[in-house]
Amino acid sequence: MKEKIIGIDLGTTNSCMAVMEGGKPVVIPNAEGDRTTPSVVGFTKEGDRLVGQVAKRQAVSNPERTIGSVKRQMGTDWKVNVDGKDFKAPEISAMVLQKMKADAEKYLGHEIEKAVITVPAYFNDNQRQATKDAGKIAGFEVMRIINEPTASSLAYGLDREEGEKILIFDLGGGTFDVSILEVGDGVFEVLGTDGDTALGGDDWDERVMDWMAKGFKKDQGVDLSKDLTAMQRLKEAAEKAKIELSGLPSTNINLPYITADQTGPKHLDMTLTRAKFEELTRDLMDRVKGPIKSSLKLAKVDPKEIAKVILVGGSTRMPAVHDFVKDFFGKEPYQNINPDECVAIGAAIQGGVLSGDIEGGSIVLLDVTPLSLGVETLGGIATNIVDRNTTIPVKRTQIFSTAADMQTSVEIHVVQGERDMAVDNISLGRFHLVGIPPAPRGVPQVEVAFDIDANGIVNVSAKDLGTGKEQKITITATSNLTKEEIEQKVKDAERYAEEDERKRDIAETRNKAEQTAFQYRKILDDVRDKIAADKVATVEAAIKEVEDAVEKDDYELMKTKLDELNKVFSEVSQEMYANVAQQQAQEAGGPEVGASGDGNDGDQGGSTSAADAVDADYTILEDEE
Amino acid sequence: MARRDGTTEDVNEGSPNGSPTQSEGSPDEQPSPEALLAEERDRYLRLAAEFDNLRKRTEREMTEFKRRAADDVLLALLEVVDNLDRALETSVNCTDQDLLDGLTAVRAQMGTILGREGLEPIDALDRPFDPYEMEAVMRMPSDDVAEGSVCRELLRGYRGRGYVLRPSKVIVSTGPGEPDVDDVEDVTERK
Repeated sequence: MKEKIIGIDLGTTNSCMAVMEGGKPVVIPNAEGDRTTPSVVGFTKEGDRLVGQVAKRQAVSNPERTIGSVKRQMGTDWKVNVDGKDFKAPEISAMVLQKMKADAEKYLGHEIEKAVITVPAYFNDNQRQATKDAGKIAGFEVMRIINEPTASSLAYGLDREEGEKILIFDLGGGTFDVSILEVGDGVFEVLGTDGDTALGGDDWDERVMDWMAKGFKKDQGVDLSKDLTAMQRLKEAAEKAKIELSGLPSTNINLPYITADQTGPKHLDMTLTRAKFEELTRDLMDRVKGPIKSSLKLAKVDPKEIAKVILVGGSTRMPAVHDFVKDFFGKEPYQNINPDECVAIGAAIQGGVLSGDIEGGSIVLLDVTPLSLGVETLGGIATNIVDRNTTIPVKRTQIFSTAADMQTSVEIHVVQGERDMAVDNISLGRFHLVGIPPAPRGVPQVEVAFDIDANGIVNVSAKDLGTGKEQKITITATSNLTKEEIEQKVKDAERYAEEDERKRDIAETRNKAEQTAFQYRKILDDVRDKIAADKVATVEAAIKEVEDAVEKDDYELMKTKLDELNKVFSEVSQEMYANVAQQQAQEAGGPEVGASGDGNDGDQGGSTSAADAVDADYTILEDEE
Repeated sequence: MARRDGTTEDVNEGSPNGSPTQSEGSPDEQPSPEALLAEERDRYLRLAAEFDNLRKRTEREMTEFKRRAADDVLLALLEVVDNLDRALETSVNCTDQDLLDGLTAVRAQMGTILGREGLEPIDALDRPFDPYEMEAVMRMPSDDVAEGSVCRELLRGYRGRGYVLRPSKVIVSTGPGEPDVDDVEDVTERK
């Protein structure tokens, strides 16, 4: 593995950075914790330099000494004079890059020297050189300058396509870019680009703001456009409404005390539907058509020939953009990567290729378990040991015990799947661990280990920790399911979740009923002489009823009878503790496993917690006999 | 015009590692077992280091996350506080003293809750503009407030817990003088 190369999307309004980590691109947040950084630089009168969000905040109060959108000046003779010193565009860009470099180094905990920086596809050599210079000034070794649409395509892994034409639709806060690329041999050729440097999400906000102001004037007769505080609130509410409408069909805009007149305070309360929003902004959507058509013409490509459309830029989250693409190109656009981060992610991937992180074999490509692996436990329950999507190689162990007294062997039934009951999952194999020394149920400790190697081969072993006896099985055929089959299994588990939960509930209730009856009978034997005979009879009768319910396999009855037994037993034990000396009570509790020990601790409801404790301490394997 | 992305490489002339590392060693030469082992060991150590760094960072992020977990709720709550403030401001001529007293009490309660969460309002008015705690929405002349200081607060900011939860939105004074029409237009159109 070589030195890390950071990918930077040096944008007009915002910049974003990402890096490959463990073979995956990760966006690096800046020192303020934001995933994008405003590309703004400001100089205070005291001579301090501000970059990013802070610079943006003071822009209005310090316009002469604040520089934004410097990207538009790259490769030109543009200069800005601050305190008698001239700065060229690359120098200003370098200040943004410098902040990002420092923030990335702080985040990653080591120095970053190398970078891949993106530029618009239409940038000429001068503009590219200027961008490279900016990187150099910031202290980077610029490994490569790549096109933004190329980066987006890389983010979607489209470099492996052959002879496909891809259209990248990039609608940001203030600019709109269209690029058409053709990919072949891993090289992206730019066939045509066009755009509108004065069209962006801000235009959409403004429409909503105007609509609100007009509506308020119509309803209340007050013109808000003269009220600075009100306009500021409208502006924020407009952007919020726009964002909400990307996910909801309508949104409520509620601005109490927006203004006041002689009659008293006035409140703004409006509802904006997505349909109305789209009507208000239809002409803006129409404006994207021009550049798309002209770029297609330039590339000599028919819309039908476009194989893929990628949406980049925060404003493409608007459903109208999605609908437009679907309408115009007749296909669903790619938009599952965060459109604000897509370009930086692609740049990081390019960086990974250059550093040998990808395909150079330096990063071990790690696989995951497609489905959960586990064993069948008492009552037919599938107990997971390795959850699905666990990265392999991995080793996981869990301790189990016996379900019956004097049980000398346990069966390990290895199952794969997401369902709650073992029978609904795939059986991968089974084996027996024999020769466990006879002991009361729950006492032997059997360690079950799942060891999955990098090839997905599963070694399951069971070891009696008392004797050290071990049995194992190797399963090689866990991964011959197709992707579709795996997805189907996961879907099934979701579909049957309710039913499975009930089945599991029944099985668990049954286990609990059996265990509780067994434990109480045992305790009762030990304390028989310390309790009145009629009480003993009551408890015994209650135990019998639970056992009968288990016999009848009646779930509801088991539950009721179990509750009754717990209640009866709790009363008896309370009475017992009240009557019997502390020492005697300890004698009675001492030799017991778990259950009565817990009973000693809790004054009330002690027996209930005793049953719970057994349940938690041991996941009991199915009795083999 | 068609442009090959490859043409960008001419910009990269002279950079030592500009192209993928295929040129290292000819394919016929088999690396020695020792070299392979060293390479594997290096890879393993780097991965282990990366994992360790990731672990440390995750811990840091968890702390930060816990600290910031309430931010969204607090920010939403601040909007209600703002409106309570507005309600009280616009109710100076309100004749219903009971209602006013009630509203004042609710506002005070909110203040207590915010204080308990470690939040305090940012004092902006008449103070020098500070971009770390304030956002300038526009500039205007003021006879009372010195140039570069805040002459009007449009939205109160809040800080606490070691950072600024919400910067104040303010108007910055340009000193005494006639109103500048250009600047007023700046409010809505400035990126």
